[in-house]
Formats: sequence, structure tokens, C-alpha cells
Amino acid sequence: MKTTGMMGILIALGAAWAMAQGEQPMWRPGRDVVKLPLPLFSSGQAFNLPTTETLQKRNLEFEISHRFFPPVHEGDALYGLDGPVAMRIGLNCALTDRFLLGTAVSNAANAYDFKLKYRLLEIRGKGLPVAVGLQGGVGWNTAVYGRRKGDSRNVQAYGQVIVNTLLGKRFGIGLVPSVLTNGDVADSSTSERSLTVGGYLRCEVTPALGLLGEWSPVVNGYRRGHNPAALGIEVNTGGHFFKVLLTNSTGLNPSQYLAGTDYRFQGDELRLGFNITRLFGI
Amino acid sequence: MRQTLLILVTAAIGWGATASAVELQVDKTQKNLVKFTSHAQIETFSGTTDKIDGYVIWPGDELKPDTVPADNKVYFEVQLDGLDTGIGLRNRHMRENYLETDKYPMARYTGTVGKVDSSQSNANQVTTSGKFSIHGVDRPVTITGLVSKQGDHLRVTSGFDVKLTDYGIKVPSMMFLKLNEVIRIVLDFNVKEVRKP
Repeated sequence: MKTTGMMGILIALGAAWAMAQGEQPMWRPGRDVVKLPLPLFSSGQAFNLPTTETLQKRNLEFEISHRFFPPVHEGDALYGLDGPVAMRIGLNCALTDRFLLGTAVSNAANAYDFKLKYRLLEIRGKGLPVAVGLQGGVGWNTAVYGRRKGDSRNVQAYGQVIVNTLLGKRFGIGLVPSVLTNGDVADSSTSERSLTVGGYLRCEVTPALGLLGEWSPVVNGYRRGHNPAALGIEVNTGGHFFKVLLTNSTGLNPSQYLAGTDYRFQGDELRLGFNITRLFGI
Repeated sequence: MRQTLLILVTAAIGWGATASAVELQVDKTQKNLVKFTSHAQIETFSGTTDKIDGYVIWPGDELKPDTVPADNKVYFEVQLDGLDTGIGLRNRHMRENYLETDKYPMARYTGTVGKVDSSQSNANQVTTSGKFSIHGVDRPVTITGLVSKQGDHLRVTSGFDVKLTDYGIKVPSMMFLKLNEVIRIVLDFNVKEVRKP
């Protein structure tokens, strides 16, 4: 009887405890997982070469870039800043989160650039994350000496495969094999292609500040005297990118820098340049 | 003796059976909105998401606003990765540098309804007190909201201020101008009664 009484008390206490816990919800966490893009680079281009980054849908990116013609060592031209420049103004528009349409104009040969970029593939995982993108476009040079604007020889086309990865959390690496048709657009006697295998390395110093190096060697076909290269910094504010660089190339549009440069990458031939981009939501 | 035991068991079961409760859950088929607004000297920006989930447990057989049961429960969570400021890169900055959503993916509110004011004709003003958690920091808060009936669901609108530094969140700067360290959070979402199958 004593045992039975104890059991009864225990049952009653159990029920009281259950009540004290209150009603348990039927609700269960059912998270709609937000799939974020693989974050390898922040900006859509290194200095000249593209990254796999695209924009968020309905975002616009406005770009203004300069490459100063006088070399840095010409101190009386304020290290090249007080001189003529190659200038590019561009606008990129995200049609989807992966698909980007861009247009730009450069004062060098009054060249227009129309491009499409697609973020094709992302491979996540604990090893090396990899993103692959494709970019293709057309350059239309409207001020080639001795030709009409609409001359078909003024048109160049290019295609690029972009491969990005991240070593640790700080070192972003990009490889960009590219092909450019009609590399020497000013020479009517040839329409030789240029094949380049460009690359870049970005080292993150802080979330806002990165060091960046870029090299774009022409491995086959037409090349102006030398291979373009650049070293510099980028500052990211969340809506703007500021990039300041030393380079041996004054080419700004893909069709201009993919064919090489007239200058060597050495002290007395380096030029200053900058890229500024600003993002807008629409 | 057996009779005594039987009475106790029956009483305990009966007691448990009377402990019914109404449960409301976020109705994801409706348009839900969580929005924060942050002001700087020359620019104001906001972020929105519909990734809110959670429940209210209201002990009793039906939802009666005139009597507030002491052991009611309120729980809501917002998935912070879903916040969209309109600019992808800014979202990324917010996630990676300020909210650190890889470590703290959710903002949560756990509390109880303390008071319901039914004096307004088309909505009840509900005051809750509880704990708001974000960026790994919990702080007590009191949140007041309006609850109105909209067809078969209830619409909840509310707002409260969050001082970022209270939660260990750095105050973001845009173009070298710091944003206000207090941001306003506005909620407008819907809950619906669910019944046990």
C-alpha cells in the first residue's frame, strides 16, 4: 500500500511538473535557407581583368577610370597626374544575380565596349572554393585613323573564361584565359588574334582594404611590345570601390589591354591610374 | 488502495487534458516584412527581409484578449542572411563585417505578453516583455505592437529601437560618415492559428 501511495504521488507530481513546463509549441524551425553567392572577390574586376563577381539583381554599377599618360617619374607633371589621360566611363547592370550586361566608352580611339558576364559555376566545400564565370564582348573603335566609324575593321571581339579561388580567407586568386580578335585594330593588313592568360592576386589587409597585383601576358598571336601588369590597392566602402594602381598599360577596355602595351613594367615607364565604381539599387 | 491510485491517475490525466492552448505561428503565405532603418548625416539606408518565423502560445481554449494568461509565450526569429539593403555588396559588408552572420545567423525575441489594450476599435495594443538576442548578446526589452484581425489570420505591426553598441555591433560607416548607432526596426507580419492534428 505504501508503494502504491508513493506511485500515486509521483504520478501527480509528474503531471504537475508537466503543467509547470507550460504548453510546448508545435512550431518547429523550418528555415528557408538563404543561398548566398560564394564570396571570393568583392569587386567585378581586378584592375582590368574581370572576376567572377556579378551584381545583385536590379543593381547598377557606374565606373570611371583613368590611366595617366605621363610616367610617374616625370615629377614636373605631378607624377603624371598633371597630364593627358585615357579615360573610361562605364555602366554595368545586373539582369539577374548571375547575369550582367555592361557598356563603356573610352576616349582612346573613342572605343565603345559592350559586354556580357555570366557567373557560371560555384564549387563550395572545405577545400578550395572555386567560381567560374564567362565574359564576352565587342569593342567598337570609332576613331581609327583613315577609316569611317562603321568600318567593319574597327570591330574587335573577345571572350574570357574566369576562374577564381580563395586561399585561406585572405588570398584571392584569379586566372583569366582570353582571346581577342583583330588584336591590332589600327593595322588594316592583319586581323591576327591575341591569346592571353591573365591572372591576379588579391591580399586582404582589412575587410575594406586589399592589395592587388595583375598580369596579363599575351601567350600567342598579336602583341604590342609588352605584357600589361599593375600593382596597387583597393578600398571597399560597401557601395564604392576605389582602386589606385601603378601600371605599364594605358588600355582600359578589354579590347585595348588584351593586346598588350607599348611600355615596359619598370620604373621609368610606370603610370598612375585609378578606378572608381559606385553601386546603386534600382 | 487500487481505487486511490486510479483516482490519482485519472485526476492527473484530466488535469493535463484541461491544459489546452492556442498556438499561433507566422503565416508564411502572407506578406511579412522586417525592416531596419539607419540614418547617416547625408544618407539613410534600410534593409528588409521576409525571413521571420516563430510562434505565440496562448493558454486556454481560445484567444481572449481581455484576460492575459500568465504563462503565455512569444518567440520570433529573423534569419539575418536574408536582409537586403538593395545593394549586394553592402549586404555582404553587413553580413561579414557587422552582423557576423556566419557565427550569429539569427536575431531572436523570446518573451511574454503582459498587457492587452482593447480600447482601440480595430486593433489590440499588445505589450510584451522579454529578451532580444542578436550578435550573440541578449538584452531585456519591452516591445509594443498592434494586432488586428485580417480574415483568418492576425496582422502584427510593431517597432523598436536597437542600439548597435549594446549588442557588440560596430557602427557601420559609409563613405567615412558613421551611421547613427541606434537603428529602428519595424515589423509587419502575420500569424495564424494552428491546431494539433
